[in-house]
Amino acid sequence: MAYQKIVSSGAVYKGKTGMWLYIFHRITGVALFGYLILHIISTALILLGPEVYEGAEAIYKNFYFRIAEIGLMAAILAHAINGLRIIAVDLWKRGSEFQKQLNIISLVLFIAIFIPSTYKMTTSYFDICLEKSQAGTTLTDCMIRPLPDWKSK
Amino acid sequence: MDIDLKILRYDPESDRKGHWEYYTVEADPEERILDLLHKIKWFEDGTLSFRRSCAHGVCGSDAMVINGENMLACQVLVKEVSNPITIEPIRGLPVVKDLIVDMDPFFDSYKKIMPYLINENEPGERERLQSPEDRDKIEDTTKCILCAACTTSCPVFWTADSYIGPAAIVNAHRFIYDSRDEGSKQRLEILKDVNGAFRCRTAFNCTSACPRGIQVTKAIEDVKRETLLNN
Amino acid sequence: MSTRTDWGRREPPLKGSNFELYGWFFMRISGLLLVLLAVGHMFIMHVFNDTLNLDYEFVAARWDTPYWRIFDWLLLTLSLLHGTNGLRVVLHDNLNDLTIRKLALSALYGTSLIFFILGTYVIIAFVSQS
Repeated sequence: MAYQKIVSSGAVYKGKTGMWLYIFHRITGVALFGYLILHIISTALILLGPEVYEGAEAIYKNFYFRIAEIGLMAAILAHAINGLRIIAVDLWKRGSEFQKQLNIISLVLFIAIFIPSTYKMTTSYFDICLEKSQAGTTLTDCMIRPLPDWKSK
Repeated sequence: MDIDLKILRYDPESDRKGHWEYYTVEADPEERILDLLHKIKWFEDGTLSFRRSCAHGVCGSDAMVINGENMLACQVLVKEVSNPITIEPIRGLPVVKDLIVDMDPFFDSYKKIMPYLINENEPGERERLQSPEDRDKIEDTTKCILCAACTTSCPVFWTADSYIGPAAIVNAHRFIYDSRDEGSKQRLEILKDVNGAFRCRTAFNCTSACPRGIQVTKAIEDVKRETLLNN
Repeated sequence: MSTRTDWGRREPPLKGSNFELYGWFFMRISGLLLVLLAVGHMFIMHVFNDTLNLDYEFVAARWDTPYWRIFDWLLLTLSLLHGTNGLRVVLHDNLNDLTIRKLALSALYGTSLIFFILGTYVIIAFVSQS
């Protein structure tokens, strides 16, 4: 018989929070594995001496990568907190009873750590930028220009 | 009141893909979704195919995706869902026609976990007795009606149909925790498999989809912990 | 009445593999450790310090103590194992064609092994040039 595996409907299944967290955990997991590989490569360059290593690190020292770094911090933090939630559901005998409360606790915990960390990472970027740049540099300059290479001076 | 319905149709003889068809029927807020489907089939379009049997939420024939969630059409009233109503076949199983899916893979998984009492000993003069406390352990999972609403709501099952699925694990749970049964070890061995309980990723879709209110994810978690502790 | 022994159709007792059980448990244990290692590492590097100040001397000073080398090696090993097992499950779930799945899994294991060797080599072989 002409069976069809899944009749494509294009409609999204209205899953509960757990389904979206499951998808989220997978996406951040795969992304973090990709980052891990890149991170091993960029750290391995240290064997080639200070010039090569710092040359590679210099690529990251601008405001766009700072935003990406905040994204990385958020991904690690969220994956870790959601992972703790999964551990609680799996290994705590009454975890599945309190899964809704666990979802809320995880979200609160994430926000409580994410916001101050983002604040610190943003202000620290501008502080260092203004400190190392010539007088008269504005915050906008820090955002659109790469940092001055203060090490070579 | 007039109710708009949007139904995903698929005819294996003429269609290569599913397509939406639109109906409008007159209905009372107290009527069930199944009544709307009957009105369409009996008075508007006789080619619409769907399964139903008892029509009272016991036989488990008419599980379908209603407004994006797995439900029994005979259990949900018109007033409980928003208008227009979208109806699709349950996901992850091959569609035979319209809202009818091939349940064979589902029942194959069910058979795998040996859904019958295993006890080598003589029952004695009367039936095998069980204390009320022991009965309570399996109270939740004995309620299963095998409608496949849980299994076909599972995101793992959609992408990997080799997964044994929540329904089979619930029914394994029903015998594993039955004080009269002696086949628990075998069932736990079966559920240890690569396609068994450890593929569950606790999305909790199954728990909210179950029309009988079984705590499906909790049952799966019990099985996982049982395997971990008694291995 | 004689004793009946044929109640129910019985399958022969299976000896299931424990691989999935151990894999599942490992994900949780390594996850717990990685909360300390990976999140700790990330906070030290990105929040408490600033990556703008990250340079050769910083790493050299850090790897001067064997404890940080052990910390980094544990982080490397656990995150690679945790990630590889996670991706193994993702591939298993999403690739239903057995040949493609086998190829993808081999590529995954190969990649992980290469980067484990590379990372371990870097951590052990690093000698500061300054």
